[in-house]
Amino acid sequence: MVNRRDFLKISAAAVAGTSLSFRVGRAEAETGTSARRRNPNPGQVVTPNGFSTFGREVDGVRVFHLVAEPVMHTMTDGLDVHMWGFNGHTPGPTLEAFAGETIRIYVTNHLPAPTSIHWHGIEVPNGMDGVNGLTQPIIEPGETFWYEFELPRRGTFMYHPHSDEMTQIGMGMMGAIVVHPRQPEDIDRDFVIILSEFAVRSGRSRPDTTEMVDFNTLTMNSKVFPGTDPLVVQRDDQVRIRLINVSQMSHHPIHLHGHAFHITATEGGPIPEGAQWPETTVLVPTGAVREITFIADNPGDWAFHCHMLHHIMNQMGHPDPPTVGVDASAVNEVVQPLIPEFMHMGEAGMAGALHNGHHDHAAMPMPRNSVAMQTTPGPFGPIEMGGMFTIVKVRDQVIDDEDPGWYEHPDDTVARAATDQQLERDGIEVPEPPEEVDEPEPHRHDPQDQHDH
Amino acid sequence: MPSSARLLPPKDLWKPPAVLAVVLLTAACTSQAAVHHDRGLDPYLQGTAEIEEAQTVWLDDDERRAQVDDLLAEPLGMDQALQVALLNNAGLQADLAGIDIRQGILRQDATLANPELHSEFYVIGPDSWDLYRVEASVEFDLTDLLARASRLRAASDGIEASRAQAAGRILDFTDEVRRAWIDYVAARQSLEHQQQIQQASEAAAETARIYHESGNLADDELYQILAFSAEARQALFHAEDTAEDRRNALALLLSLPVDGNWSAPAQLAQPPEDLPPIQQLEEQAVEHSPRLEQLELEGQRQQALVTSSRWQGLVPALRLGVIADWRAGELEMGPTVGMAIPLFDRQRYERDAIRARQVQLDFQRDHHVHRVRTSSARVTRRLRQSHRLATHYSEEILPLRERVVEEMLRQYNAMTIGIFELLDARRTHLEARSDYVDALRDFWIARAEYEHLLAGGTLDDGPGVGDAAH
Repeated sequence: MVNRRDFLKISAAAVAGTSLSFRVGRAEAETGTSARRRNPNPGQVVTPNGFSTFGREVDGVRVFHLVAEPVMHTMTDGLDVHMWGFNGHTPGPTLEAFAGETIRIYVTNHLPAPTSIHWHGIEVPNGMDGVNGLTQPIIEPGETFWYEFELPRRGTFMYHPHSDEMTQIGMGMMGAIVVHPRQPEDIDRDFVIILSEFAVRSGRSRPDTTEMVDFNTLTMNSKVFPGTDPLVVQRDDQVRIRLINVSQMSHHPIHLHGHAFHITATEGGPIPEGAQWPETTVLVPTGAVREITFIADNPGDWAFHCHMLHHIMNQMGHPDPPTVGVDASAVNEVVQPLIPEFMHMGEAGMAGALHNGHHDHAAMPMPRNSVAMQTTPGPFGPIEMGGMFTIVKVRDQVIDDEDPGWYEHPDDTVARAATDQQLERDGIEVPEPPEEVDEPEPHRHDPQDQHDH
Repeated sequence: MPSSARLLPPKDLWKPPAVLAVVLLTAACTSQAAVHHDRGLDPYLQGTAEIEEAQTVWLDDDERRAQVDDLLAEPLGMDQALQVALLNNAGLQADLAGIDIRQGILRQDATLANPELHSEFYVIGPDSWDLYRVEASVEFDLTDLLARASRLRAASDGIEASRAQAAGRILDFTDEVRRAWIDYVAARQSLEHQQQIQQASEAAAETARIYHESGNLADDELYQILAFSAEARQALFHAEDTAEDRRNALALLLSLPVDGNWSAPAQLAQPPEDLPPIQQLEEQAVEHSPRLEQLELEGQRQQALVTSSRWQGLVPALRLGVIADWRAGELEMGPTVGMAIPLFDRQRYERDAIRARQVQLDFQRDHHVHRVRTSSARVTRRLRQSHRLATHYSEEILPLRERVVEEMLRQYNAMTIGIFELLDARRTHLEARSDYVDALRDFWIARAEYEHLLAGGTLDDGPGVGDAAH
């Protein structure tokens, strides 16, 4: 969700480049602050860490203005990245409209490179499809193009360049289009989250757009945890989350804790109720949309994240060789005479490293402009998560959209160390820790064997 | 350098127990040097004092030994090493003793022939012992006397030339000592860095073993790292050998035992911020060159020899004397004159040879002036280049390499690189420090060459063609 500081930035950008687009139009201010709307009429979608707009109406046509331009984007505190986006932000504004409306979108290119915009998933006239060279000429830097088409149906769609995609999408150019049905929906909270991935080497401040495989910064609305805003909902809300995957290579199995949901629509349209089935993880392929819907009937702080495990780590690297099982003190003894500040990574894995002081910027110097691979202070210690991770916060009463803080658990509902009395009561015998397993002797080929056989 | 040669050789011959130390306080590097001395070298070394601020100090053997002991009590800086070398080096003293040999020969050549006495006694008759006659004459070789002044001048010039040569030898020797000292200290410093590099390699090897034992490295990965570490040890062996070799070389020049209890500083000084003045280098190198002075004096000596030879050619074997004839109590006296009939000029070819030697000396002088100028240009270039390189290392490369290690450590902490990449960065940093020692050594060698040239020496670039002819 947009905090006050971001909102000021966005407003400033809107005044500078797109004032008409964002200052005129229904409920612009409300969507811009992602105000809570229970059962909006018609729907209002919340873009966590971003903003949404209905544009403005001109002679029955809904008009938007997108300015493609470089932006300095904070993925989370400590990680500022030179990116490209729309209207001063990445992702660009979520464009909201109604099924059956005609929309006209002006695209001004303030990038140093030519571009074009594709309206992904919408059945547009061929000449409005935005494929550079195939369906339209390129939008040169400084030029403003217009696109106009009718929205034939409700749904969740996306927009992104269809020109030098690896560079331009890899730099953050993307946005969502939400087309609401004419009739009100039984939805209390409606969120849109764009899943994407970037290659930002630790210490750098610009994505590597030549990267084809190894993406280390996995984002939700261009933010990494803990920079991702929580999704704050009230208990028993009917919640919809529109997941859009604009990643270059990855599909994302998004998992919600504490609740089951239904996949109710894709970018191709709604899924008939009879074809839906309950899930807790939805696989969102790249270039696809999945709408999931659930009733938030389980209060708490619920993790909502990609289940590709390295997608929930920040600026994931590949330290080689691995350190698990290595005697850290022995290595320290050898290396510290050469590099006194050296501290070996944990022999018990990254969490071990974390608890040994790694990723503590005060204790262990980190590269400038980098974000710890996994650490966020939580109510019970460091949260060993990062990247494509956020929290669905279900509360009995939601006052506003501000983060309500950590969940206050009812008594005796938090896991803790078992007592001897508990173990004895339930007949649990804790075995002794296993002894260290000796490494198997490597097989050595003896040429003599060959002769014998 | 003195402009006129001494006409008379010094009276006080060198006696081994007497020791004169000439202390050279080099203005640029405040080096001090002391030598056994009683050979009239003062004017030449004092001449270099115009730029080296020389002082002369007399020492006897006990004092010399005490001074050497004092110097050896602390790590030998370049100046101290120079003093020890000049006080101790028997080879240098042997070279300087050559001056006495040459002086003796030259003085012998200048010695006057003794007058000749002829006497005859006659008895007139066997029966009359009263009848006798005595005739005696004394004759001087007038030609020898006439040529005397020229021969004395030739001898004096020859002696001065030999002193100039000796002064040049001392300059060469001090240059040799400076270079040996720089080489030794640089070799020690390099050895220390190689030990650190080896330590880094062994740390990588030990770390690899730990990782291997933990199952985190495969056999091939382990042995690659171990092989690399073993190869790195070769550089250490080489550095150890070089350091020992350089110590031997310095010990030889200082006449000290190789395994004696003497030491040198652990590292060379940082290069100074600015270069020494080099604008007047060529001019001063020519002005202070003992070799040119030697050639000049040698030329004067040859001229005196020509004069002498000419006298002998013009007035061959002219002898003057007095004759006394005493007969029967009567004494008669009169002069005698004798001379060879100059049908043949027996000095002609000697004069031809001397003139040829003069021509040769002219060429040698021209050649040496050219050599000094070339040396000046080369030293200027080396000094500038080595100073630039050493400064570049100290101000650019080393801080950057250190920064690389810091940043790599940060990347390691961020878990984006592995431990062996970090150790590799550290080793590269240490290798850069080792390379810096080479650059530092080159600078101080160039600086020593500059001092040497400024004092009148030339680069040791092998004998020139002119020298070969000589």
